[in-house]
Amino acid sequence: MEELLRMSGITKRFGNGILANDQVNLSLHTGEIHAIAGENGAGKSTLMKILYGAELPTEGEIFWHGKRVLIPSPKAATALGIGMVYQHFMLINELPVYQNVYLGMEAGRFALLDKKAMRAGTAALAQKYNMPVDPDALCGTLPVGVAQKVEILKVLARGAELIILDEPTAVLTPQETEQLFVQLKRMRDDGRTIVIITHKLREIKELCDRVTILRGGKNAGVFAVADVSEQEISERMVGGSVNLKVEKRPARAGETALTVEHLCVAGRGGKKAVNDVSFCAKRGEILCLAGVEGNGQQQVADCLTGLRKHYDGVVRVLGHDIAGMCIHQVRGLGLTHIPEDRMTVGTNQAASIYENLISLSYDQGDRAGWMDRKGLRRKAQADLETFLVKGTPDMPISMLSGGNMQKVVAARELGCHPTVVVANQPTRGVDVGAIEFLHRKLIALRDSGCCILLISADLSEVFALADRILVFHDGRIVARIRDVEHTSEQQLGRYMLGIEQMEVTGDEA
Amino acid sequence: MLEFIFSENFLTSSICYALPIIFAAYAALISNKAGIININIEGSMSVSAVTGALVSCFTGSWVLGLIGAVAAGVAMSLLLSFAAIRLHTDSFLSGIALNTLATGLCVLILQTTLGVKGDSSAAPSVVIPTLTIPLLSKIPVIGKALFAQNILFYAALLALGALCFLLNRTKLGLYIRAVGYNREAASSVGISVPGAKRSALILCGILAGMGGAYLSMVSLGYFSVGMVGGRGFIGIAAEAMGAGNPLLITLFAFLFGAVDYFAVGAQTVLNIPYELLNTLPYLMTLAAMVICSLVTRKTKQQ
Repeated sequence: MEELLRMSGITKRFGNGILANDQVNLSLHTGEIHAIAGENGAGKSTLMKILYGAELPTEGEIFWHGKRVLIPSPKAATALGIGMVYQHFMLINELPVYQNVYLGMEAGRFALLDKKAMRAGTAALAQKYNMPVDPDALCGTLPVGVAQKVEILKVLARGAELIILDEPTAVLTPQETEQLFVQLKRMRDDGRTIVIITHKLREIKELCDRVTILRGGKNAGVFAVADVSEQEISERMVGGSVNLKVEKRPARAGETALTVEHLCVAGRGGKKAVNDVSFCAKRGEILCLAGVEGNGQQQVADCLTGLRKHYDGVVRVLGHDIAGMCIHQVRGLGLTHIPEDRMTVGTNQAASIYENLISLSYDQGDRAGWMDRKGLRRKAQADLETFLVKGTPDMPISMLSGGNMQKVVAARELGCHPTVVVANQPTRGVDVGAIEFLHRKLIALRDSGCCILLISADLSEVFALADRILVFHDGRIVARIRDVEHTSEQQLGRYMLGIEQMEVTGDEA
Repeated sequence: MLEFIFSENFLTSSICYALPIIFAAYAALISNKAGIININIEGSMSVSAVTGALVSCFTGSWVLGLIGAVAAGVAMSLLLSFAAIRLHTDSFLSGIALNTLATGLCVLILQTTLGVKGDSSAAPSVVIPTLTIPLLSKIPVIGKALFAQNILFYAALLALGALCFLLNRTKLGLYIRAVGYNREAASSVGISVPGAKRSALILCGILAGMGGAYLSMVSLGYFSVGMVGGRGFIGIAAEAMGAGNPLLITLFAFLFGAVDYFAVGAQTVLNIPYELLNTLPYLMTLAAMVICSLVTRKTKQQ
């Protein structure tokens, strides 16, 4: 096999002294699909950013086709033939697909745009790799799966020999994932080399030829995928043995905690984002709202937590109609909320860990308007220890890795003895160790009689936690699954895509 | 009253009153497309107006005066671009600072050149001439309004076409829009964000400069302190209401101009104190903004 790229002895030390990569080596063969695996904070993203020219290495060399190169900017990487598909899409929602695909390298003489050529080019490229995309659709109107295709087309249009994908399946359904894998394999067979950053073991097994594992910024092994088991890979990633499946006793459902009756929420362009949805959730169970993102789950969560005021229908939390209640009052009923986006809603990035932690409880034990600072500090310190956060109270929260940040959010929301927890994508972008920890916490809360409403697009999470599943498609509940154990991921995927519907009996809630 | 509104004179004069607002709105359009809120259009117009008036007076040439006015507008834009793009200040705060600077600068220029503080009536501008197109200008009602206008009127028409063409058909236009929509995405494909913003601001300065020149070299014939009178801001309001659509923006800017003229013209027809009439353009701006926000809020809720 010919070596396409070699990164050798890459070290990256950030200004704040954090060592993200420590003497990391990476070798890629032409025409392979190579996984970079590791927990969050293991240095995968940093390594890829260095490869793509978004970060400069402190030490180390990069060889491209055997020649030493410097990659000072993404532009330089693109010129070499290295393309990157980001996890957070870099698309301009207001522009049509074909303009996004050719943005920065438009066809046309002089300063003018040749729209015809760009349209045709996009269509041809989409055809070649079997990606059904309408060149004229505005990117903002595309479903996530299709938007990702546009990102890939963008990279292909720039003639990339090496394509880096950052956790590409995080937002996809099983069917879309399968489709993506077929397309990626087709690109590989076309002679392109593909690197995917992932911590999903099954994907490594299914898709990749080789895997490079990183742990704590260092190499932890390179394997041909055929030669290692999932268990081995995960042990290399974590540096010890991990329990991939969290133990869970059958639920003992108690009294009703959440009731939603005929909920309707207006969406974009006169469409209903939530269309006549009714369900209830009981104490002592984990009810999961599954579905592809953007099918109404988010809006239901917003209604339940008091974030959204305009809706039709009735929402009751522990028997109280929350119409007209402010968020503080809803929380006062015993409801807490792990929001989907920890960067903008879940935490205040400008504040310290301590300030983030006490933002729910600052008024507890206050004396005539004075905060009980000593008590709050003690509690914050204790929370950090219980939730195994790697940080000190006075550190700015923005210094934490995604997993640790999420643990801070969880500590705040789960540590105050809630009765109802709305957990929205609680483990997205969180490493294996933290996922296991958060799952245990949620199950422990359930067993203590808490009602947990889980919103998740991650099927392994859905199956690991849910006692019951409601599948959302196009603003409606298309399936109510009681027998989670005997439902396959494929079946759930078909419901999520709206290919199938479950006959719903009237009285079942 | 109705006779007054539906007269040929009303249309012609409304266009005259609307022109500076239209230029301001176009200036706001191009800078907004690049994602910069440029409230300094007001100040730029003011500096352009004084420059245009004095240069044309001293050189005896309206062409040089107009070039001076445009150059002054571009200079103000470059100041903002230096502060907001190079030094990463808040463009809104920098805009406020530059507006304050502009007010003082105009007086300073008058003081040092003419030794007066209020206006340049002692040194009247060379007026930018009117261009009458034969035959077409004889068409009843609209003929005089559309085909016997000041050169800057045709410049505005040209600017409208050029803006549409630039934004939709050229790479620069696409880059400006891309940067305004999503900076990170644009820069991730190698588009220079500062470059696109600076180009947009320069165009913005040119347009604001023409707006300023119209005030001191056509409308009044000399520069007077405070003569911009919020037209820059009203232009920004018209842009906001037109939601980035050049034709809609032109329409709103024209409406503001019509009300502006109504406030002046109606004083002879209506028996209302003129101070009250003079508040009309501002009241209308306020009302329009409220209606606009109500409409968008309603569409958002649906």
